[in-house]
Amino acid sequence: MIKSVLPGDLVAQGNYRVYSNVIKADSEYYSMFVGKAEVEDSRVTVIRLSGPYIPRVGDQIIGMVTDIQPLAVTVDINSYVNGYIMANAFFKRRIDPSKQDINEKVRIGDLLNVRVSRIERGRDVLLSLGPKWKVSGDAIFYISPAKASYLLRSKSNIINRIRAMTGTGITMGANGIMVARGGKDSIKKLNDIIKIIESHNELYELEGALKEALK
Amino acid sequence: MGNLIVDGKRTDGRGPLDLRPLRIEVGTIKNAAGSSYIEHGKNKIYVAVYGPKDSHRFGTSLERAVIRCRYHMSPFSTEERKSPQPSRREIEISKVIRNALEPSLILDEFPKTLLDVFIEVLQSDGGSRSASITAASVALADAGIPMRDLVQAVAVGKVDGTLVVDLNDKEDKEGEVDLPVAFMLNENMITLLQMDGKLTVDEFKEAVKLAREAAVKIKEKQKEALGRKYFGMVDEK
Repeated sequence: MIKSVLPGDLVAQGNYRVYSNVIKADSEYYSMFVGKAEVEDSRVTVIRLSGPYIPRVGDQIIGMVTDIQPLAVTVDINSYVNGYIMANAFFKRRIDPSKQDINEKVRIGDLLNVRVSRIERGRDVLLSLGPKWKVSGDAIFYISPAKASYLLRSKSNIINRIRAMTGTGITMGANGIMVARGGKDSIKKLNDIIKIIESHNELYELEGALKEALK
Repeated sequence: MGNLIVDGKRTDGRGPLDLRPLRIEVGTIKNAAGSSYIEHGKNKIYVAVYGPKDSHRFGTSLERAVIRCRYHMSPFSTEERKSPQPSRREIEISKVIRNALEPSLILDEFPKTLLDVFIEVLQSDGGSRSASITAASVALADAGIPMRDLVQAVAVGKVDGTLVVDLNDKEDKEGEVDLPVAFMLNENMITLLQMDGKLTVDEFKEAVKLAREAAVKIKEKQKEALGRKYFGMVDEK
């Protein structure tokens, strides 16, 4: 069952094993966000429709290098907290900063495809590098993180269909950053699709509008 | 005094328990993380929420986000020009609004961060602090800040010996009592209660009851406003 909820709305009653974005009071579950509530056999969850990107361990995200220090690189991950990558990760072994220069591997402004490895309260988020960690493209788009999460988990694989329809190569992170590669026309088409995504707040309308545009 | 209620009607034609016209819009400021606009009677107020943002400033908490609230009346918002500098009253109201909103928010999700709530009164009438709280709560929901419930506020007062709901400017200034109250209805919690004037215990209980009934109506308006932006209709549920 899926329903629209606002903060403080009763989402479900009973005992559910897994729940997220809800407050549990005795056997009642109340929404913490404006969103879509999904209630299944043992799970209650609210998909947020707004808000900042909240990092979770395992998220695949795209970040931009903002600072380089001998032992670590700071990365802007489009959130209220920064990410960092240890210099060792770029060399895949322990390094001696007096001998190896991390600037050979990465520069300020580079876009990186990374994974959230560890979160400690009140500290920057530790990131790790995937196999193809350097991302380059012809355009970069910022999508609302709540919508990005919806697009990525969509069962109808919207991102793949956008790739096929626009003829662009797309790398997208759960934090809402999308890097696109393609010719001028392809990027223009993608830009139109992004406008549709940004102008629809109702997720199910969004799916319909995208289906229409992707025909 | 003595001519604020004539034949059961107040100066603006309302009955004692009627609310002034109320309109709320969500997402009015593009650059803000969340925003709202409220017209409550003659009050016209914008609220913009920025953040949460990383902060290493003195005063930030390792455990939770810290809210900074700024209530400001524009120089043209009153009948006589008001100095743009924050007055003692504005500083106090900023604090009062922050305290009224904080219990509804789950801020420990964002340690070492700041959350800015800017409230700009473009036109003021009685009850601007109540209207600001109502609008700020909607703007925070729009910003995606986790919360237990929406907060609604309304002022109840005593005018010509009668309890009235939602005071206008004249009643606020010339009435006997002004009692702004903010509620989190789900939790059955009062997050703001101030009183200027004197009421008997029974009158006080009745005033809070009237304020609660008004808050229920205000909450419906908040939900409609959020529903319009996010679900494209007044009441989808």
